Formats: sequence, C-alpha cells, structure tokens
Amino acid sequence: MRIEEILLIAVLVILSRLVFKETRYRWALFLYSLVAIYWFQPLSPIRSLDFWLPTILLLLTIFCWSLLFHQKSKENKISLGLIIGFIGIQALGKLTGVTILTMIVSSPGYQDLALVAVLIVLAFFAFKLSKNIKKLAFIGIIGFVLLTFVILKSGEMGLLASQSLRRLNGQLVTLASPLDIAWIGYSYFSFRLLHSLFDRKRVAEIGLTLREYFTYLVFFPAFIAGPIDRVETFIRQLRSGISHYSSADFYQSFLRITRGVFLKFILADSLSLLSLNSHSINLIQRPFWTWIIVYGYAFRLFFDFAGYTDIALGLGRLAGIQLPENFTQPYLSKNVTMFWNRWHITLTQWFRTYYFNPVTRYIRRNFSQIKPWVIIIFTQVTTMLLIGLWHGISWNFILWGLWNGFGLFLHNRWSTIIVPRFEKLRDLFSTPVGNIFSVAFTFNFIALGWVWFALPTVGDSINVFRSLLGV
Amino acid sequence: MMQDLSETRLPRLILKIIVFLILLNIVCVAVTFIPIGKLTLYNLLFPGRPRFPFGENPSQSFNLTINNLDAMVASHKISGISNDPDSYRVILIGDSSIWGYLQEPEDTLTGILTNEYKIRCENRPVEVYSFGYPSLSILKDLFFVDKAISFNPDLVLWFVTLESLNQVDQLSTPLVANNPTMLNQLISKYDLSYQHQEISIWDRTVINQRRNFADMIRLQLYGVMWAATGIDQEYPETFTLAQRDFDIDATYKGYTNQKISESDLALEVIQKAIEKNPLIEIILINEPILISSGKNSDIRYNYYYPRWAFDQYREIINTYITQYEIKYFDFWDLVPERNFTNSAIHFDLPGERLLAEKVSQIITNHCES
Repeated sequence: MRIEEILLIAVLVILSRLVFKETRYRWALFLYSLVAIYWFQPLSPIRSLDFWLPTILLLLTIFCWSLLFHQKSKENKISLGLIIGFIGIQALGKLTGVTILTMIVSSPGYQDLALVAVLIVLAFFAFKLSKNIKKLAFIGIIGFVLLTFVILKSGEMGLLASQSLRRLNGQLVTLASPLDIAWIGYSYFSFRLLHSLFDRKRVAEIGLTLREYFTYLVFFPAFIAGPIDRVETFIRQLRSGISHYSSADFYQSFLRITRGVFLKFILADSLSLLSLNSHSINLIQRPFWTWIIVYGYAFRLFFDFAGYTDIALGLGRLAGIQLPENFTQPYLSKNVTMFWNRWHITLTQWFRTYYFNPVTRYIRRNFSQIKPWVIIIFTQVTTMLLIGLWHGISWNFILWGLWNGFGLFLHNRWSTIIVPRFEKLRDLFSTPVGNIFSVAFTFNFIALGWVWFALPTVGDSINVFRSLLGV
Repeated sequence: MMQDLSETRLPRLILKIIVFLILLNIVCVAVTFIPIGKLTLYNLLFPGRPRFPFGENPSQSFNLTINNLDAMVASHKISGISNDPDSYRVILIGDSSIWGYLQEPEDTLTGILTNEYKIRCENRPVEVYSFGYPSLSILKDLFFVDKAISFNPDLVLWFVTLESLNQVDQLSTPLVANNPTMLNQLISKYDLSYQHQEISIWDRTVINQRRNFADMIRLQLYGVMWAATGIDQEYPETFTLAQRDFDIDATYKGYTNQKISESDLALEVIQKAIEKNPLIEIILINEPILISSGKNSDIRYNYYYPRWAFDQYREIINTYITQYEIKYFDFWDLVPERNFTNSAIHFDLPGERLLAEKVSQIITNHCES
C-alpha cells in the first residue's frame, strides 16, 4: 500500500462510518472489499491474469460459502447480485468504451466475463451437491490452495505456470517469468479460507451470510499483509454496533496508522538502503560492517512488517474492526520460544492450531513408544520448516526453518532439562544482566537466521557467515 | 473512560501536530542560514568520500545524487582532514571526467596523482582532492570553486570544455537550478551578470524541501555501504562506447551561422573567480576530448562538437586567457581515441594516466615557481 492509498482508505472509511447506518455500513465494507481485491492486484504481462486472479478469490469465496453456509435469504441474493453487477459493469465499460473501471482492473475479454458469470452462478449453487461430492470438493479446494502456494512460492513452478498461461493466451513463451504471477493478498486470503474449512463445523454454527464471509476473507485493511483474524472474532465485531461512532477508535487508529507509516515508510525504507543482497555481500570488506548490515536487515524486516501491521490494525479499527496483534516487541524476547510467540503471532498461531497441535496429539496418541523429545523436535522443526516453505520454496527458506526449529528445540531442552537442575543458573538468568544477555543472545540468533531468509542462495548466505567471522 | 479521554485527546493531538508543523515551517523559512547539511556522520563514523556523492542507480552504486552542497562537501574526505601547513593542497574542479565516471576511486585522476605519483613540493607532501562533479556547467563548477577556497588550497586546477562554458544550459543544470540561494550569493559575491533567482517562501518550507532532507538522511545511510564496500559507483561489465561515426551534421546548439562569439561562453565566471580570489592560484585546463577517426569525422570531432565549433572555442579561450593573464593549459588532443569509454570526455585508466602525467608536471612546476 502506498501512503496515498492509506489516506484514501482512511478518508473513505471515516466518511462511510459517519454517513451510513449499521446495515448500509456493512454493505459498504463488503463493496470496498470487492473493489479492493481488484484495486490491489498489480498488472500482469499475461493477458487478463490481473482480472482472473482476484476473480478466483471471488469464486472461491462464493463456492466455499455455498458449501459451508448456504441459506436462502434476500441478503445473499443481493450479495450475489452486487458481485455479478460488479462484473457486469466491467462488461458494460468494455462494450461502451467507457473506462469506468480501468483504474481498478485491466479490461477483461468478453469470453472472460461470460465465463465468470457462469462460474459465479455455478459456485453459488454448490450447496446442491451431494454430501460425498461436497467432501471431495473440500479436499479439492484444499488441494487447489496448496498447489497454488507451491506455484507462487517456487520459482520453477511459477515459471512453468507462466509459460503455460502464455501459451494458452498465444503470448510469447520466452518472456515468461515467475514474477508474471504476482497474486496480491492470496496468502492471507488462503489462511482465512483454510481456517474456515478446517473449522467448518464450528464456523458453520455461526451461520455466515455471503456478505459476511466475503468481508471476513478479504477485509481490505488486512488483505495484503494480514493479520489473520479468526472468523468468530471478526463476525462478532461485524455484527455488533460497528458503525457506531467511537472517538476512541479514531484516536487509537490515528496513533496506530501514524506509527505504522513511520515504521514502514521512514525507518524500514531507510534501512533498506543497507543492502543485504547477492550484489553487496561480496563487496563488504570488514566483518564489522557485515554485522551492521545484518542487524540493519533484522530491524528493517521488523519495521517493514510491523509497520504494515500497524497500518492494517489502524485502518481496521477505523472501520470498526479490532484486528489481532501481530507483533509485541519481538526483539526484546528472552528466548526463541518467546520470540515466536511475539513475531507474526497470527501466522504462528495458525500453524500451531492446524499443524503443530494436531500432529503432536496424533503422534502421542498413536505412537506412544516414541520419546517425548523426539516428538518435540519433530513437530517444532517441521512446523518451522512449513513456515519457511510458506515464504518460498528454496533451500534458503528450508535452512531458515531448520535454524529456527532447532533453536526452539534447543531452548525447550535448555528450559526443561538444564535450567531446573541448576538453581544458580536459574538465578543468574533472573538478574538484570542475565536478562540483557538473554535478549542479546536471542536477538543475535534470530538476526543470524535472517541471513538465510534474506538471500537467494545457500552460497550467498555462507559468504555472509564467513564475512561475519572474518574468514 | 477511554472514550471520554479520547474525545478530548484526538482534537488536541491533531491541533498540536498542526501547530508543530506550522512552527517547523516558519523556523525553516526564517532560519535559512543554518547549514543543516553540515551535520554528517562522514569523517566520524564513516570514512570521507574521495569524490562527491553522485549515483544514477543507488541500489547498485550505494550512492545517490543530492542537491545540498553543504552535505556533499561534508561527506568529502577533505572535510575530515585538518589543513596541515606542512602539506601542499591541490583541488581539481571539473565535470564527470574529473569525478571519474566508470573509474574506481584509485583509478581517477586524483587517485593516480595521489597513489602513483606521490608528488612532493619542497619536501611537503602534495594532497590532491577531487571536486569534480558530473554535469557540464561552469556555474556549477563555481559552486565548488567557492567551496574549495574555504579549504585553503595551494592550487586549484579547473578543467573546462566547450560544453561546460556554453551559456545556454548554465542555469538549468540540476545542481544550479536546485540551489537558487547559493546561486544568488555567488552572483553577488563574484559580481556576475546573471539575474538573481526569485525564491518564494514556499520554496523554503519543510514541505517543499522534504526531498532535500530525505536525501541528506539517505546520504548518511549510504555511508554504511560506502564504509563497508568502498563502492561509490556502478561499474557495469559492458557499456556502449562513445559514438565514433556520425551523420553529415555540423550543427551545434542552434548556431546556424557556424559562428561562436565570446559572449556565447561563460568565460566571465572564470575570470571573476580568479579575480575575486587573488590569494589562491587557479589554473585553467582545457580537458581532453575524443577526436574521432570514424565516419564523417572530418565534420565532427565527437558527439558533442562539430569541428568548427570546438576550433572556434579554442581560439576564443586562447584570446581570453591572454587578455586576462589567466594561466592555461590546453590538453584537448592529449588522449588517443582508443582510450575513451562511454562518452567523448570519459577516458579509461591509460587515458587517465596520460592526463595525470601532464597534471603532475603542472603541479611540480607550480610548486617550484
């Protein structure tokens, strides 16, 4: 998001909240989210792809809603009508040459528009599928989401997908690049979608309308960079007096957005000048400066992400929704476990809920002969490995995941085996000096881990470690 | 309770911010004499730069182009070296060829004179500093001459060419256009015939100068990369060689009658700079240019100059320096065609060495005299 976009969203939300009453305001949020998925999608050199990618989010939403929550109501018909109307406006714009929406989406072809209209209607009636096919459909969606992740996060797969799409469109295949398929908002949309699918029994009890489900999945302040809210928390707020004017909301939002803008656009963007990349690492002459650049990257990453989160939380609060916190002073953590409870909190909670806990339970239940420490190392390392792979399918992200996974395991052993046996050690780490040492040690461990994260190849990262050690 | 507090807090906070911004702008408009650019981490945390900051591709060069002269000079290594009476200071002024485009710091004219010649003057070590900066404008050069004077040099060598002296583009050079206050001061100080630039209050506000302030901060941040890598320029593996073949085209900057007169050149700037700084020796040097042997090279020397224009320029400058008794050396044809890189005024290391040989003689001769 650019500063102008943040300002635009803030003004739009404030005006809407002041002008519209409850129901109309909720519809406004729905429409803004509808526009946002197209607005934020960057142009793609592959013809119509920048139309299709957000449209797929739309179709997935309608399809999953129909499977999970469908009920006959006027509101749902209006929602569907608005979605089709939105697509229709684009068709009208194309037909008449009036470029009403060219600022939002690139002009899709007539065939695309017709196909989308048909798919929307089909998705809407997915509830009519038999129980068994519904089960298959859930598996299919989860498979689709995971496969898409692989395509988006893997350079080779991304290239292959780009080549295929170009071939399909009759475009030059030699110009294909994984960057052609930049799908803004997909990650966080998927996490929310999967959450609603995995917890479908509980979520179904809430009984969401199409408008509510769509607003939850693509809530525009959190569309690009999270956080990942839980559906029940979000809907509870959406259904309460959301449009009610609250000066506390405005005040807190103002502070939050200001802080976010400062962190992202001033601190993070400034620190980005201290480049930790393939070009710079071979040019650094002294270990001291390598340490400075590694630390600079660690802070840049934090300011960038925490800044974005602040902006999202501020805009969310301005819109009447309190999104969950994502960062709570992570670099002041005294150990790695604490760090991962304070860094990108909603993501780690998501993986804890849908991978770590169930897998741990499963192994304990079915393989009771396995020693606890083996279970711990397996679940912690694989959880971090998955988080690493979510950032990108490459050796460097795998190594970053392993680095943190083993870090978590070692801390687990330290705190459960070593510290309890040595009272003096416990006392030592309770002193202010001990605390400072713990924070410094943890920060350095994490900062060194970012060396894997920041660079594209293992060789580059090893070069940085060599440079840090002066060898 | 929270809501009650916020009811009064938000308007108050917004009011405070507005008042703060207004005050900040008023202070910024009123207090123009505070040289904020002099605040620097160079020569403190980071080593000073051997040449002024300039970068067209910051992510590769770890450098950027800024317009604040104080910040530029503060980042230069000369600002961190006390003026030792036992040393002999030489400052080179000029364009990108003196700055050292495509050359690493040690391969520039300054670098070669410092590292390879190690000239001594009456047992005093000769310190050579580069005040070259990429753009062709004698007014821009005057900015740096004026800054150079404050460092008490024993000798200033001022490299010029027809493009830098042409009156047409003097005021539009970015550094000149973006420093109207400095320009006005120099017009007054050197009694130049240029008109003073109008500077509105808006021009001096923080809001209008935000880019300048941001650039100054960026310059400090790039200090880390400069200190870490010693890189201050992008060195592409390949580049397009300066044009050697030309169309049949003898035009030069709209001179339809193929006649350049003295008034077309900003020679006054040089004369006034020398006149107003009588204690500093300033020597003028006509810098080497590419003399092409390619197609239609009988019409043009290079991309910049048709033969008639450059020949007339040399005649004019020769007459002028005789009239005003300006010390002058003409090295226009010193560097062979093969030693030019991506421009008609940029040369490679052997080319730099040829020029360095001549310049070292000038320094030695001046010292002995």
